[in-house]
Amino acid sequence: MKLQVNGKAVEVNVPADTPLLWVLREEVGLTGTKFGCGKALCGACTVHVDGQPKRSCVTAVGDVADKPITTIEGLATDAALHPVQQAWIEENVPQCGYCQAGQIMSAVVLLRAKPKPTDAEIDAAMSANLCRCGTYPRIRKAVHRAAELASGGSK
Amino acid sequence: MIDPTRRGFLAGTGALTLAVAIGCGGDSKGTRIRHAEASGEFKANLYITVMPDGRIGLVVNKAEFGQGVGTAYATLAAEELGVAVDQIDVEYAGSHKDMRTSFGMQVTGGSTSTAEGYKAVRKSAASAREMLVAAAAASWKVPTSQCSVGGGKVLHAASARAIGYGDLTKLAARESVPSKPKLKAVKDFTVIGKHDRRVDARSKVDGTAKFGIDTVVPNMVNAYVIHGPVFGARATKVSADAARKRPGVIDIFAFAGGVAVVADKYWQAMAAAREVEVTWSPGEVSKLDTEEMQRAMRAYDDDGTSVKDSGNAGKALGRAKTKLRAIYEAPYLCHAPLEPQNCTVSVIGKTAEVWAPNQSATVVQAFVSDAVGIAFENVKVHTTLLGGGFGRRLVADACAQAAIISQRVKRPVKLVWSRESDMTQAFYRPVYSVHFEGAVDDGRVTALRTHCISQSILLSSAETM
Repeated sequence: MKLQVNGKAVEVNVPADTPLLWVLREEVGLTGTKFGCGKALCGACTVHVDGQPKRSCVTAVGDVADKPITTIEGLATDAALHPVQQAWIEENVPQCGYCQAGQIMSAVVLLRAKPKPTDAEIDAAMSANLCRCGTYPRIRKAVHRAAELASGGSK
Repeated sequence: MIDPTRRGFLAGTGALTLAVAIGCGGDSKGTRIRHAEASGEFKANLYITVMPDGRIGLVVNKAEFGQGVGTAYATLAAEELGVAVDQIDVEYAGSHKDMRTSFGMQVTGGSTSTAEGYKAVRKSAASAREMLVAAAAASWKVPTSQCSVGGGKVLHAASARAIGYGDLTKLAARESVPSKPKLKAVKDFTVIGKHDRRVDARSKVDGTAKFGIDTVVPNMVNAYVIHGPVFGARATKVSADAARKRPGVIDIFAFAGGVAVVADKYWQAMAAAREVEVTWSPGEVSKLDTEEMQRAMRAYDDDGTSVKDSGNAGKALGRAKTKLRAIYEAPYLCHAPLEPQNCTVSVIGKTAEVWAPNQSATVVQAFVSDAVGIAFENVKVHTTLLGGGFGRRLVADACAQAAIISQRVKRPVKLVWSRESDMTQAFYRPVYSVHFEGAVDDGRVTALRTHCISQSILLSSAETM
């Protein structure tokens, strides 16, 4: 089966019903995407498929063959971090950090759809990504910061 | 069976003796010099190493699970060394007999890390600094009192000379370890209380941070454990003929912890586990009932043990105009760290090597030692980043299970629990009931009486072991 992961073609030999999460982690060797629940309840495994957020733990790899897949490792380009990653550092978002790949992948999609989201829009878009450390206030600040960075502005 | 070593550290914990402030520890002068000559590195002590490129290696003898201890300790070290925090490379300590600085153990919990490290880390860094200064002063033939440090260099203002730490490693290794390194005065702090960036933020936003679950070691296989439906359940019958034939499956067997499904890849083990049928015995504690326990705790009227008694709360309560009374209760709760329980273990003969997100390398050593009958000191633990701790990773049940599986299949094994197992088979935070009584007179609190009823964490942990 052929996959397109972070702009590269990857050949994997797994049954079509294998969860994308484990194909990424064990077959492609990209461990930035995390296993949290296996039931699409926590958001730690969020990746982009065709530019849309997907819970990779419940996504059968056969359903995403030949579609562009982006993981946390593929977000930065030309050695420059994505504005969301940059904002996450500037606002000191990560604590234990385990959920943050999923948080960032969700935030990137939110900002594509709504370049200047309100607090309510941020909460609505991010509420299904759980953070056990409780970094939610910083996540919200960082999404606003990322919106500024992406529009070339600064505080 | 209780191993005497473990009984020792549990006794130490029970005594609630404060850890003696750690010395710097480390190699003898001869070893230090040989290491510096061979590698260019100045291992000043157990915790601080100066690299030939001037970067500082800091061993943090605590586990990082979001509380920021890596950043805190790097800040403490940077202050004393006169370097920027980002010049420090943080590494988290694995098991080390000379690093059992908390009640005779290596342990992270109870919000004690910064209090414990505040002087100890600075002392280690100050010791390294004084050896670097002594080395530079000797090479310039000036008194150390005329030298200062800044920007990762030793400076001699009078002659406008400066030399980077990286160029001093071989000379500094020849200096004696100062017996009482001088710590900076609080008024001179330039980093502590001012640095506000986490040292691990970058790795936690670009996917490179390695948690326990990300461990990969050569020749490793993966395991999934099917746990019983209730506490204490034992597998009495396992039907796994179809599962055994699935691709990648290496072994399926019942053991004290449940039923292990071992495969080349975790996704293969998970898929195979769905085809395993297990019959469970109910076990001795299957009838545990939260409501019943809470009723019993409410009815409990023993005075218990008095921990602190000052003044006369009874008298003050008796004459107060305003009295308040409340009972706070919490059930047994799963800590539910977001990173599911996991551990990678390689048991080879009478030794075991463990990679685990853990809050106590010492406890991991104890659990693994007990599980597979290997001497405590022959269990070597690497502490990875933790995706949450909350006290759950003070217990190393998953490590013990992984060790048993590794011993059986004779390969390094990474065990990852399902979320369902984490929620239903965890070492829960104990059930608690706290009775508060208070009195207020003229807007001031005049009495406070607190009565806690709970399970003893220490006693129950000792039992577990």
